[in-house]
Amino acid sequence: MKVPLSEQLLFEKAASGSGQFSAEHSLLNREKLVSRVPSFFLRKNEIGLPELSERDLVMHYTRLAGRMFSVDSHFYPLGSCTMKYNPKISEDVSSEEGFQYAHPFQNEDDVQGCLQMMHELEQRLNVICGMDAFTLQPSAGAHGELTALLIARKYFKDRKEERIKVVVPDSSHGTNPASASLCGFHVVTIPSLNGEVDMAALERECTSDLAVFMLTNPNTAGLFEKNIVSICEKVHSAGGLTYYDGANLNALMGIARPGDMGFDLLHVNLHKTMATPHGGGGPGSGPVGVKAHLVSYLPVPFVEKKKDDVYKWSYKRPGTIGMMKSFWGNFGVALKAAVYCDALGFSGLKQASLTAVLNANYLKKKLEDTFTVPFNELCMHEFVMTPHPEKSPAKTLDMAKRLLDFGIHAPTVYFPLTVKESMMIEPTETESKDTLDEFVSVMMQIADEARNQPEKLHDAPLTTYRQRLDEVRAARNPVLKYGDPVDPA
Amino acid sequence: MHFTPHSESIIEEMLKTIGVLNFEELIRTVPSQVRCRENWDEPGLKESDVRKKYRNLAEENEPVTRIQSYLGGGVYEHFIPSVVNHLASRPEFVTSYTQYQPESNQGMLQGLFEYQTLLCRLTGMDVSNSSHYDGATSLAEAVLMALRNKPGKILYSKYLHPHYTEVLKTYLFNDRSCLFEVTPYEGTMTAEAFPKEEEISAVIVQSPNFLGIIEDMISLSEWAHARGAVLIAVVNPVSLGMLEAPGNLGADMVVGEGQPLGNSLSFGGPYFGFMCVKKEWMRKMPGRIVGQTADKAGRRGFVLTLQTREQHIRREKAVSNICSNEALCALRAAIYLAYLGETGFKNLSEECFEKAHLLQEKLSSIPGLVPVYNKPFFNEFAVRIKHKKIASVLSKLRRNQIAAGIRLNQFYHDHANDFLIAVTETKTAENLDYYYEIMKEVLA
Repeated sequence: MKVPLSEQLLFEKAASGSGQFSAEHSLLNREKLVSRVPSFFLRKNEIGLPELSERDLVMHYTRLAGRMFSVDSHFYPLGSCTMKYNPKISEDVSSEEGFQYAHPFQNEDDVQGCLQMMHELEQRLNVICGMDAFTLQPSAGAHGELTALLIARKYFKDRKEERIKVVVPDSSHGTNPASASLCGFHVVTIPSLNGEVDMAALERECTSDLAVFMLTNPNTAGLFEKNIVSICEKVHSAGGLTYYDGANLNALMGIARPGDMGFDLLHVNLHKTMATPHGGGGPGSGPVGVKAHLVSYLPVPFVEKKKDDVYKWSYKRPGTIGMMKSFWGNFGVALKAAVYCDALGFSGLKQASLTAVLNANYLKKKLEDTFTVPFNELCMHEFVMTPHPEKSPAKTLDMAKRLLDFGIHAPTVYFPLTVKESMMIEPTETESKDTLDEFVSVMMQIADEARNQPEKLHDAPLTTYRQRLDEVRAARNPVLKYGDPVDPA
Repeated sequence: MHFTPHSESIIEEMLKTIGVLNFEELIRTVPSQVRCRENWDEPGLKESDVRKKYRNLAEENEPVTRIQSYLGGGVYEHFIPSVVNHLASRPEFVTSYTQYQPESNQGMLQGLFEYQTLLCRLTGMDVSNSSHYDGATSLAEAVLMALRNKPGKILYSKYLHPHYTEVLKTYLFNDRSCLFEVTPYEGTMTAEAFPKEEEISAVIVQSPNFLGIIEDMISLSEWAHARGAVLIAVVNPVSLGMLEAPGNLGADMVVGEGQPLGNSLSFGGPYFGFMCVKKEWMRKMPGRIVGQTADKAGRRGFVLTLQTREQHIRREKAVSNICSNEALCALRAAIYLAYLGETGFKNLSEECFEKAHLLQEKLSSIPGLVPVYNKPFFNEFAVRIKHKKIASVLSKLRRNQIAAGIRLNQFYHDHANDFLIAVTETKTAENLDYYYEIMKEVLA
C-alpha cells in the first residue's frame, strides 16, 4: 500500500532529480579530478540522498513541525527541565552576522566581540552562583558534571589522596551517578528521609575515601535542603568536595547562592535557567563554576581581559584537566544566555525565580486535594505528586498520555525514583495564572475520568497525530533507519 | 525586559491561595544563613538597548563573510541556503524538548530517524545515533566503547585533529598509557610505524587528516582487523560526496564533526558530533537513538529506543552519561542534505575539492612557498613559507582582507613556518586569483 504523501519519509518521495546545488561547472573537470586522487579513494556507488524540490522539502518539514508540542505552542510542565519561554530577542541576536560567521580559529583581533561576551557571561555566572571562576566549555549538564568530577579527581590526585567514592542521594538525576561512573568513581547511593538528604546516611558515607557528594538543591522533590550548610560541612570535614547539580537553579536566583551554601563545584544548565531553547534535546550548554582552590584545574583555554579592554586566550591554568570539547564551548547558546541575563538584570532574574516558586506552589495547592502530594510543605520551583487511590485512581503513565489530548505536555513521570508513580511538575515563571488554572481544571477532569471512565485513560492519547506508540516493539525489533527490516506486528 | 506575566493583584491572589502573606514567607524554607546578601537591584535593559549592546559587540568581530577566509581546521564556511535556516528555525522544533512523550513529538522523531538514515548512507554504516556534542567528544566516546570491548592500545596519528587528541586525553584521564601516537610517514599513517608486540584495541584514522591528506583506510582497517582491533574513522562529512564511504573501507565506527552540514560557524558551537557504527555495536553505543514502531492503530510512528543503555534508566551502569545532545543541529544537517540532494551534494563536494586544488597549484608556483606534503588531499592543504617570516606574511595577507589559513606552530613545533589552507565552494575563481596575486606580491 502506498504511503500517503503527508506521511512519507524523505526516502519515499519520488526522486525528481532536482538537486539544488549547481557547482560552477567551468571549474570542474572529471578526468582531472580522478588524476588527482587514486580511484580507490573515490566513491563507487550512489549515496542515496533524496532529491526533492524546494517546495516539497518545505512542505515535508512544515508538516513535521505540525506534529510537535513545543514551549511556543503548549504548556510544558516538565519537572527538572525548566521549559520556560525562550525570548525571541535571543534568536535575533545570535543570528547577527558578526556572531554566526565568526570562525573559532580566527585571530583574537578579529573576534573581540565574542571573547568579551564569554568573559562577561562568566563574570555574571560567578555573581549568580557565588563562585570564583567559570568555564563555558561543557556542552550540556551531564558534560558539566563530567568536567567537574574530572576536576575533583585531579585535585585529589595532586593532593595524593586516594578518594574513589562519589555519593549521591537516591533522588538524584540519573546523570549524576552515570557521570561519576564514567569518571571512574565508585558510586554510592544514599536514601532520602522525608524527601531530603538523610543526614545519618550521609554521615556514614563521610569516610576517608569520600571524593564528592553530588546534590541538586532544591532537590528533585522540589524541596530546599534545609540542612544544606551542615551537609556541606560534613562532607568538607571528611575531606570531600561538594558538587551542585544546577538543574534546579531556576528556583534560587537572587534568593540563595550555591557558593554561599558551601558548594565547591557546580554546573549551570543555560538551556534551563537562562531560557535558551532546548532544540528537541539539544544543543544545551553546561558551564562549570568552581571556588578559588579549584580554578587552576578548569579546562583551557579561557578568555582573559587585558589592559585597554583587550581580550586574549590564555592557557595559564597549570592544573588543567585539558579540553572538554573541540573549540570553546557552545558559543551560540552562551550568547543567548548572556542576552537573557542582560535583558532581565539581576532584579529580573530574582523576579523570575520568585515567580517560578509562586507558580509551583499555586499549582500544588490547587491539586493537593485530588492528588497525593507526598511532601506537604512549601515547595520551591517544582513539586512531586502521585495519583490518589480514590480521588484520581489511575496509572501515572495513563494520566500523562491523557494530558496530551488536552494540548498539555506531560510532566516528568516516574521520576524521582523515590516516589512511586511520581509526576514531577514544574510550571516555570513564564506561565500565566490562566494557563495554570486551565491545567488544574484539566487535571480535575482527568481525575474524574479516572474514577468514571478509566478506559479513556488507557486509550489516550486519541487526538494526537499518532496514538500510543509501542515502545517495547521498537526495542525488540530495532528499526533504526529507513530500509531496516520491519517485523510484522 | 521581563517574562513574568502576573500583575500585582494576581500575585496577591495567588499568594493568598497558597496561604502565605508575601514572597518572603513563600521562600521561608530557605534558611536565612544562606540567603543572598548581594545587591540584586540591577534593572534589566530595554529590548532596544539589548539589541544595541549586542549589535555593537557583533561589530567588534570581523566575520568571515566580510573578509576572504581560508580557515578550516575541522569546521568550514559553507553557504547555508535560506530554506535550511527557515525550516530549522521553526519554533515547533527549536522550543521542544527531548521526545520522552513520543505521541507529542512525531515531527522531531521522524526528522531524527531520517537524519540517522542519511548519516548511515553517507558513511556506509548500519546504525547512527541521533547526535553527540561534537566531533571530538563523539570520538572520545567511540574510543571508550572500543576499550570496553577490548583493552589495548589506541593508535592515532600525530595529524589527528589536535583538539580531538586533547579531548581524548581528557576523557582517558585515568590511564593514558593506552594512547599511542603514531609518527606519520610523509603526512600519512602507515602500519610500519605501528607497535608490533602490543595488544591493539583500536586504530583511529582521520581522513582527510588535520593537514587535509586522505589516508589509506583500507590497509589500516586490514591491519587492525588482523589484530582483533577496530577501525574508528573520523571524517569530514562533506568529503563523502566524492570519497568512498568508510563503511566500504572496513571502518567499524565512523565519527566526526557535523558542522559542515548546514550549521553556521558560530565561533565554535553549537555543532553536533555524529556517530555511526556497524550493527554489532548497536547496544553498546552511547546517545539517544530513534526507532520505528507502530501505534495502537497499527500506523507507523517513531520513539526513542534502546533506552536501557542510558543514564535515566541505568544510572551508574549506563554506557554513557550523555543526556542532552545536539538534536536541532542534527535536524539542520538532515534538512541541508535533503535540500542539496544526491547531485547537489556530490557537486558541492567536488567543487570544494577542485577549488582547493586550483589554489594549491597556483600557490605552489610561487617561489618561496611549497606544499608541506605532496599527497592526495580533499579541500585543505598545508604549505610552508620559506625565507620569509610567516607571521608577517600572514598579517600582510590579512591587511588585504584575506584570512590566509591556520598557523600550525600552535599545534606542532616542527611546523613553525607552515599553515593550513581550507577552500570551500564559497570562494570564487576571482577570490582564488586574488589570494594568489597577493601572496605573490608578499613573497616577492
